[in-house]
Amino acid sequence: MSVFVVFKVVPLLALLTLAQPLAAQSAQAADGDGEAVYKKHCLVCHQADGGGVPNMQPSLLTSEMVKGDPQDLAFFILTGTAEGDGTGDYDNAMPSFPMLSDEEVAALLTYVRRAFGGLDDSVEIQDVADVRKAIAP
Amino acid sequence: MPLSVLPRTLLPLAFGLSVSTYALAADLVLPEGFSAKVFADNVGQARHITVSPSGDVYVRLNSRKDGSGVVALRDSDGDGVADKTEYFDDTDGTGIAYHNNYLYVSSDTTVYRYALKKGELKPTAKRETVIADFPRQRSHASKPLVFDGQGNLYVTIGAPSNACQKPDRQPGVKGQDPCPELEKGGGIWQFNADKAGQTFAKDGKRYATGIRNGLAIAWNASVNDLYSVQHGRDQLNTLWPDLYNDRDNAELPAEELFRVTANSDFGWPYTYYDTRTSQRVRAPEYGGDGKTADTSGKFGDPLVAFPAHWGPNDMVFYTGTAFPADYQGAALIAFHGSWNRAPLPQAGYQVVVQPMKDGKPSGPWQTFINGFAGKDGFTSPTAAEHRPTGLAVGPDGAVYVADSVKGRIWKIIYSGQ
Repeated sequence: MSVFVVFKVVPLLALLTLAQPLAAQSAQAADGDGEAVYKKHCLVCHQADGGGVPNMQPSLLTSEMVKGDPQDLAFFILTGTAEGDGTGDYDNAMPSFPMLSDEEVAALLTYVRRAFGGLDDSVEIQDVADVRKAIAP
Repeated sequence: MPLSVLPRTLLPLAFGLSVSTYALAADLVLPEGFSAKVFADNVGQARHITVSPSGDVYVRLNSRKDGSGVVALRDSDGDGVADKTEYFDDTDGTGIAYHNNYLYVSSDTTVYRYALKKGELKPTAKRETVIADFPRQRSHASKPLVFDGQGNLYVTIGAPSNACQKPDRQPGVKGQDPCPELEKGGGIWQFNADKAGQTFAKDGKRYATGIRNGLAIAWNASVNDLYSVQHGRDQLNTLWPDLYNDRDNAELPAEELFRVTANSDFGWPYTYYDTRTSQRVRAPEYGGDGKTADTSGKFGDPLVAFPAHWGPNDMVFYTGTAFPADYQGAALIAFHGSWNRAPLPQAGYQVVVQPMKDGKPSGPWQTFINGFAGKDGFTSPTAAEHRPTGLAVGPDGAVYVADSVKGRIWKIIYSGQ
């Protein structure tokens, strides 16, 4: 099933489930796939509530990158920081996740931006594909 | 500098309570006869802590507060609460120790010292560099330090990675073999205790290796040996999902207490210690399957295998006489608390006591001080109200505990029979 199609259904789902708290329905009904990707690859460091670990891994709740251009976030997830200069505000480097498909990254970004960034848009698969192409043309 | 403490009117109540000070002092829970007082609060992001022979308490900050990385605290009227506070030093870090009229402090790359004149709380002497040019690294960069009283200074240099993968923490990536990180990290180095102007490269001698991050180090003067508790490796399940599930990762591997002698090797990154089968097993980065024991015979075993991911940030041997007999000579270990147990509830967040005799454990470890987190069963480390990170024994036999979250310092005393 195309994640893209699921996202396009979001407005309709939202109308049908208005009785539910907004955060709950956006995280679960629309983003099952993204939440699963988050749980498998990200939760261990950034934690279930996105709060991170002081000094170790940053909070996603206060992250400018989470709220910013989704292509910047896609680049960060695909490349990480482990090949960087060995310094940073946090003790642990960000691993890279090039093994995730464009669909998985788009779903993940949508989930993270909604659950922790307070945004309600959907990230397009093509945006992720374009970033991947730019990294390794 | 504002120093908010527990309201004075409540303080007398903290003494003499026979069970615990549960309603006071951040709800710390202590064995019968012990009580805790808030000695100082909001001092900054505390790491290790030391006490001078005259009873002044020095706290090293991980992040400078108003530009200063050391807090000096004095209780001049003897009521168990600091009434004089001084800030100094323009670096930050973890290590701090009093030795021969000097206060030693470490940043992530340098060990410094200040001469302390008699009666001085804040040093007037200029800072000297004792050891310069430790390798710059991102992970496990803290430099805990301890003296042996025989002219040597020991400094932990953590491994700059989780399991010597390159790149670090990358699912499915094999470990580098041999691991080049062990040349300049993943062990404990020995230096001259008293000489200024040393460098890591010229003067450091690798004393022990295969220790991923021995953040807790202490000298056991009763047997004249170094001891350390290691932060064990992370992320078995996320890096090797075919071999480990969430529960496996939450329960593996042990946080290991070592007796560290010259040239010890405790097997990081090639092995880890399995808490379930009580044996050293091959790490998955080096061909391990999650079960097979390491049979190389090259690596030492821990004296005690503590639960996974608890985060042993500091250790002291209790050298006082004020605590009951079981505590005398015992190792007190501050577990900062886990993050890598997620999605399972986090654990640790306590100070344990490990009774010792003749250099060996003489009984099972027990929780000594609990209640730091203020709650149980939470999944996110940011939910913890306090996290113990530093320990020191005062000249009166009291134990001081430092908290990394709010910068609270507790003084623990015993007044039972």
